[in-house]
This record gives sequence, C-alpha cells and structure tokens, in this order.
Amino acid sequence: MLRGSPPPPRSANRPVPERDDDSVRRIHDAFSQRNFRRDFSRRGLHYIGLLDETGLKVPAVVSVDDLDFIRPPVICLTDPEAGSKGQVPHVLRSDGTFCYLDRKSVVLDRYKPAETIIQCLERADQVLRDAVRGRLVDDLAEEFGGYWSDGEVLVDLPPSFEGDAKVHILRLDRDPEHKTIVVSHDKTSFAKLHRRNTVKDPGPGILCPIILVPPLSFDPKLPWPPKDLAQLNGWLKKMAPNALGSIEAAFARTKDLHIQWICLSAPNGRFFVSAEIAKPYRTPEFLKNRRASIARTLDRIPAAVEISGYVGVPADEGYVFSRNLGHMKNLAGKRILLIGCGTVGGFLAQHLAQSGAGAGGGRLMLVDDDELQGANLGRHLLGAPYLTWNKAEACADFLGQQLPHLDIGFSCDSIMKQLAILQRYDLCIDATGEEALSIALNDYAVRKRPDFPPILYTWLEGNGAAAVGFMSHDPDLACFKCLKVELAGEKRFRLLREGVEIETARNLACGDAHYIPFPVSRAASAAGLACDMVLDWANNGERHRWRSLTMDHRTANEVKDGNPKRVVKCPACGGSA
Amino acid sequence: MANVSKVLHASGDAACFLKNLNIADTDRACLMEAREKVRDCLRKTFAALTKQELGVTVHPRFFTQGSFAYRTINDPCWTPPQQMDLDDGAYLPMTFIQGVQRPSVAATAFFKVVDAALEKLAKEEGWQFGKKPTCSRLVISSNSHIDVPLYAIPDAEFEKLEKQMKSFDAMARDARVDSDDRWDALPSDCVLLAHREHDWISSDPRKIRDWFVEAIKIYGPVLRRVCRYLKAWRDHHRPHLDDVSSILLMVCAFEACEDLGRPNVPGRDDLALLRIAERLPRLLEGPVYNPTDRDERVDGRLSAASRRIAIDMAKKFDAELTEIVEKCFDPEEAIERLTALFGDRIPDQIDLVDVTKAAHAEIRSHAPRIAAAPTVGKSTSA
Repeated sequence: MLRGSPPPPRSANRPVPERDDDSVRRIHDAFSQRNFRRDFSRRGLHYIGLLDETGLKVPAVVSVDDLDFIRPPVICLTDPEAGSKGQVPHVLRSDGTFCYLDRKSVVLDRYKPAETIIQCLERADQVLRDAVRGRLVDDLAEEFGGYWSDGEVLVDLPPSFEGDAKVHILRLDRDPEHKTIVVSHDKTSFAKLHRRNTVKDPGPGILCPIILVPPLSFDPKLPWPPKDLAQLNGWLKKMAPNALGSIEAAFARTKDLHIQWICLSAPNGRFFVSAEIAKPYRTPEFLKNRRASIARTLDRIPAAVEISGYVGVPADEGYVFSRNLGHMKNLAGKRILLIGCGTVGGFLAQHLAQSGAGAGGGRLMLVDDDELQGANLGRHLLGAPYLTWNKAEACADFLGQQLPHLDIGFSCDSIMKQLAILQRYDLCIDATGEEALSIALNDYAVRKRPDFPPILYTWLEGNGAAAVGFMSHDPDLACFKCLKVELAGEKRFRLLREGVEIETARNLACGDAHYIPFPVSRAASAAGLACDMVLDWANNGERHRWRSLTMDHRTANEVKDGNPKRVVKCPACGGSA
Repeated sequence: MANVSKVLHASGDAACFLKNLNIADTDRACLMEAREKVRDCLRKTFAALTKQELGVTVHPRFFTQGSFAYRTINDPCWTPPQQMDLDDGAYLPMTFIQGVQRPSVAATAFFKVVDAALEKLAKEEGWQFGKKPTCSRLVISSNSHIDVPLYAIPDAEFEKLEKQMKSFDAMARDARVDSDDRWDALPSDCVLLAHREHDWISSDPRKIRDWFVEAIKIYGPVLRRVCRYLKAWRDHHRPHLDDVSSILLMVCAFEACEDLGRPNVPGRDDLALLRIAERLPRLLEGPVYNPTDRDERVDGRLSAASRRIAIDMAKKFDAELTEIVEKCFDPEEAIERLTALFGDRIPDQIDLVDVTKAAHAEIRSHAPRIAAAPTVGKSTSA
C-alpha cells in the first residue's frame, strides 16, 4: 500500500473478530476493580469476592457462564447470612443462588462485558443492602413460592375462592405416565380431557379445604421446608394461626384415605400441603375405627404425618384469558358466531378462543359445511388427525382440548339454512371470504336492523397481498355492499395495484378444485387483524370499521383505515336508510 | 535509560535471548522419539498384563504435562547437571487397579510393573533408569530426561476419555494436528497420582495447566515469556536458586500481574519483567498459594534458608534490572549487565539496545475506571 493512500474499505462480509478472549480480559479487569479474584480451582469463569465490600461484606462467587449475557452472571452467596439478621430475600434456599436481576425485564450488553459485570455487581450490592435493611421484607413473601416446593398443581378456582375444593389426579394428554394434579371446586373443565384420554370419569377427588391466610413467609433459621406435621404446625402457629389444625380436621372429615390436602390461600400465592400418614400407622384401627378422634391421635404423633408442599399455578379461565390482555377486557361472556372455519376462520377461531370467547357464560359458535381435506393441510390450523372431519366440528374439538374451559359449539350446516340463529349472538363474523355469501348475509343483516348484531367480515385480497376487516352495524355507515355497489364495478378501496392478476390454481388430478394460492402466513395475519377488531369491539373502542393490512407491496397499495359512509345508491342499505 | 526489550524478545529472524533459550530442534525430535518409545513400551506392557489379569485389553492414555505443555521449556543453562524435562503422565482406569472409588491395589504394585518394563527399555536403548517418589525417570541423554507419573481415573471417566480421544483421533487425522494432548477430554476431578511412599494421592495436573492457559488469555503471551526469563535467571544462578520451582516463579509472575492490574502490565518485555521483578522479593516471602487450590502452597518446598537466599537474589535482580532499564545509557554496559544476570545466551549485539527513545518519560497508565452499564429494560417480547 502506498504511503498516504486511504485504508482499504472494510468489507461488509469480513470475518467478525473473535470476541470471547477479549471479553474474558475485560471481565477480568472489571472483577479486579472490585477486588474479586478468579477461582482457578474450577473450570469456567468464576470470581470470588465480597458484595457490598465497604458495608455488609457478603462473600460471594460470581460465575459468568454466558459471554453473550443472555443469562446474567450467577451469583452465589457463600455465607447467605453474613451481614444480615437472618432473612435475606432473593436467596434461593438450595445453594445460596442470589436472585438480583430479573432476566425477563432487563437486557444486558454483550458488547460491554466489563461495564455489564460492574452493573450486575452494583445491582447485587443494592439488592443485598435493601434486603438487610428490611426494605425487601415483602420480597420474601413475594418469592415464597420459590422456597415452598418444587411441585406444582393446576388451580382451576377463582382467586377469591374459600371453602372446600377437590384435588383430582388427571390425565391431560395421551401419555399414561403423565399425570397432573388439578384442584377445583366440584367439577373442573379439565375433567373433560381426562375423560377423553382415559374414557373414564375422574374419581370423586380428595377433599381440599381452601383456607384464606395472611401473606406467607418463613424464618430461614428454622428447618425449612416443613417435613412433618409438627414442623408444619410450628410454622403455621406463627404465620397462619387460623389454619392451625386444619389438616387434622380434614382427616377427621374423610374416610379411609391416608392422604389429605389443604390449601393456604394467601395474597402472595396459593400453597398446597399434602399430608400423608406414614406407612406404619396406616392400620384399619388407626384409619377407620378411630377416625373420629384422629385429630387427637395425630396431635400425639405429629411426626407420623409426612408433609409435601405444592405451589398452585392458576389455570382458571379468568386468569388464562386475561393474563395477556393487560388493561383490556377479554371476550368472556360474549356470544360470538364465526362463519367459515377455513384457513382464516380456523386461525381466527383459535385467536378468539385464546382471548376468552366461550368463557364466563359466553359461547363461541363455529359454522362451516365443508370438510378438511389433504389440500387444506398446508395452511389450516388443523392437521392430519382431523382429515375428513367437518371443519367447524374439528376446530371445536381441537380448541376444546386446548382450552377445556370454553363453551365452543359447532354447526355443520350452511349458515344460509339457519339464518335465524344470527340474531342470538352479540357478534357475527364472516370469515368465509366468499363474496356472494357475504353479500347475502349483509342483505339479511341490513333488513333485520336495528335488531341485529354487528357483523365483521374478513378476507384476503389478491394472492394474500392484503387482509381486510370490515365491521358493519351503524346504519349511517357503510354496509358490506356499500364497499362495491356494482358487483362488476370498482371497489371503493382499491388495494390491489392496477394490472395485478390474481393467480388461481386447480389440481384436477388431486381432486382439488379451483383455489387461490397464498401462504399460511397471510391467513394467520388476516385472522390477527380480525381478532384485533373483535377485541376493540369488546372494549367499546371500535375506532376504524374498515381496516387493512398490506402484506405484498409489489401487488397491493396501502390504504388508510377509516369509517366509510353509507352509499345512497347501495342496493342493500340505500333504500332502507 | 535502555530499552532492552529487543534483546529479550524479537520477532522474525532477529537474534534475541528468548530464541537462544529455545531447545534445539534435534533435541526436541530426540525427546519426542523417546517419548513414543516409552509410550509404546507401556502400551504393550499394560495390554499384556490386563489381557492376562482381566481378560480385556486396557490401553493407557498419555498426557504430556509440565513445561512442555505450558510451552515454557528452556534449554538448560548448565549441562550437566541441569536437564530438559519432559513429563508424560500415563492414565489408567480405576478398575484396572481393582477399586471402584479408590484403587485397592497399592501404588507400589503399579510401579513395580512400570519400573520393570521401563528398566528393560532403558537397557535396550542405552538410557539410565531412575526412581523418583511420584514417577519413573528415564535419562535419555546428558541434557534431557523423561518422567512418567502414573495416574488412575474412574472407569466412567476413562471411557469418556477413550471415546473423545477416538473421535478426536479421527478428526486429527483429517486436520493433521497432533492428537496427543487432548486435555479437555481429561476429567478434572478424582484423578489419583501413584506415589511410592504415600500410595495414591489426589493430584490433577490439568488444573494447573488450565490456570496457565487462562492466565495467558488474560495477560497475553508476555506472561509466558516473562516466566521463561525468570526460569532462565534461576537456572543461571545455580545452585543458589535450585529450590525455587518453576511453578513458584510462574505463580509469582501471575500474582505480580494481578497486583499491577491488566492495563498496567507493560507491553514491552523488559518493562513487564521489571514490574514483575519489583514484586518478586515480596512475593517470595510467601505465602504463595496454588491458584487452583488455595489450600495448597507452591512455596512449600522452600526451606527457610533457601527462601532467604531467593529473596536476597530477587532483590539484587530487581535492583540490577532497574539500573539497566531505568538508568543505563550505554548499550554495551546494558548488554554486559544483562549477561551477568541471565548468562551468555543474552545476544552480544549492542544494536538491539535502544537508548535514544528510552529517554522519554514513562507514563504509567492508570486503568480507566469501569462504570456500570446503564440498566436497559426489555422492549421486545417473545
């Protein structure tokens, strides 16, 4: 290279330099600054030092096992009680692992390894100081589940439930080895799955009184978790005196069983206790003849009852269908009719179900007179197990398995043969994409106004170039026919670019009649658009009644969403307005 | 002020001290050939023995350790008595030694077999055979020997090792690389070393080797070179420093770097050596711990008297090196004084000494303080 000539341009595809060694060096510098020493007795990057080194001086081992910092460094307190007066929240009981950073909320910078290490150490110092100064007493309660047990039970109960519930051991899938503990009041919707998988009704279940208690926490200095009734009662005395004796009482109320459950329902979670009478005591004398006085007997031999803890995982419909909606309302309680369970309708049915349609006394009704064929498999919600099933029935069956809470109905008849049912719903959705059917439905709807629910039409334009959702209800605004007054005329909103030809296909050899090719992704997007409009409707925020989503900008234009007005010469609504 | 870094280390064909410390290619070839003969001999011995005793053939695995593995080997300074030393560990599965958790056969029985085989080999090759507490020694020439320590590892670990070695052997054939030392395949716990007097003792040579590899990763190859200068200094000053082990010098060099902080370790070899030499007397006072096991001291073998001598010599070393690097303006004098410190393998070339540029004041760098990265909340969702 000549002197003074510019440096060669950096090639865009030059190899990315190896960063790991450099990261290791920079990480070492950061730890050195904090007076941490590398622990060479173990493989990997482990550093030993003091957290909050000028104050609490808590010895810790920091392990950096991910140089990409997708996982934050693991901090273990080697003496979890150092500097504190016992209770240190955020320390997991098994090995002193210190929980100082919520990896679900913070993103760490892999390009600044040294700064990231300092950030983590400073954060750990702060959490530790706050913990010791008692600022995090609530945290211990918040994390109580982490200390209580490793086992989980599904809780199909409303959050405020108090009183007698039942524990069921259910099979939610086909694997006979795979059993799930479900707690519910009376009958649980999960029982449907058990019946389906075992062809048997689940047993009557084991009594499980749900007792409301104050927030639960524990003293790490005492034996933890409780292993027998004596230890449990010792802890209950302090934490939840109102639950004291409830295990014994539950035993006295049931017959024959050597196992008993209770649930401590606290503001910081629902914690289950299963109590099992140890083998040597499982005599008829003990379990039957003296059942009435079992409370007193157990009181004398508390160590004969073994205790296991389970954490309740909410699976009730209120939780399942509201968790992901933030401040939005879900579709529970609504009566929704979905016409067309093809590719768009199938995905939409799933979206609606996951948004709570069919929950809380509501109903999701699916209508389709077509069967699932091999040709559908490439872009339908459902697969081979449902081949030759009616699409509406198949979707209802599939969603019923996934979300047993829901009331999902189906009809295998054409909607045109049962138009009267439309008026029984709060919302009708036409996802058939069949223009003639939509025009017919629209005509019926307009005639029945004002005693007719809103109808949402959704379809794809071109070869999935754009998706459209249109909600029709307000007589001052456009009806479906207003969007194209003349069947052969221009559309009011021209999404497809001029001259774009729609590719159609036909595989006669495969028995596959006329169809329009487009990938599954376009159908899923259309279903997404429609589901959004349904949620807006449920939240009284209908905003734009006509919305589109342009997916192929080569063949489709973008058109602004809006509220198109009625057209006077519309053959459907023009005369009636 | 004299910049003597080029005297110590230069790239390319230029002469330098470090190149003069390298062992000759013929010596290396000779050692490798001898190592192969020793391995072959032990492979055959154990194959026959295990076939007869257990009905299956057990092949021992070998790992070279020590300065050969760390690449810190120097050509000996005074021969005799100093010799190049190649440590080649032989590894066997635990059940061969008839125990599951620990060997039930005494280490002496194990040594008996190895000693007999190697003694026979020594006779055939015209080598000298010797016994050390933890190994059998084969002196293959006036200036070199091979030590064979014997290790036992749990069967499961041995099987893993065999498997990985096999797949690596296959890979190595394609890549034409040396497959002898596949260290990461070696288990790091539960490695037992046969000892003639104390039977079996826990000892894992890989941990030290891993530490050194990691230390070089952090401080760069200058640390390895400084270790070699320090070893050369020790070797030159025989017999006064004979008790100062190589591992002690290596750990001291590392600890000095830790003390300096990585950004303060100079890039120039002479300055890096000087910064470390400044800290050497204090470090030699001890205690110096094994970086991979803080319960073990690497200065444990130093007697009080040897330690006193070592500290004293280190002080002189520091003073002399300071004089050369920081006060000397005469290249000839610099070379002369370096030769007195390290011996006549210091190249007698005054043109390698730079006294003009050295007059610049050395600016001691301070590591910029690392600030914490700002907390950034997540904005994307799965």
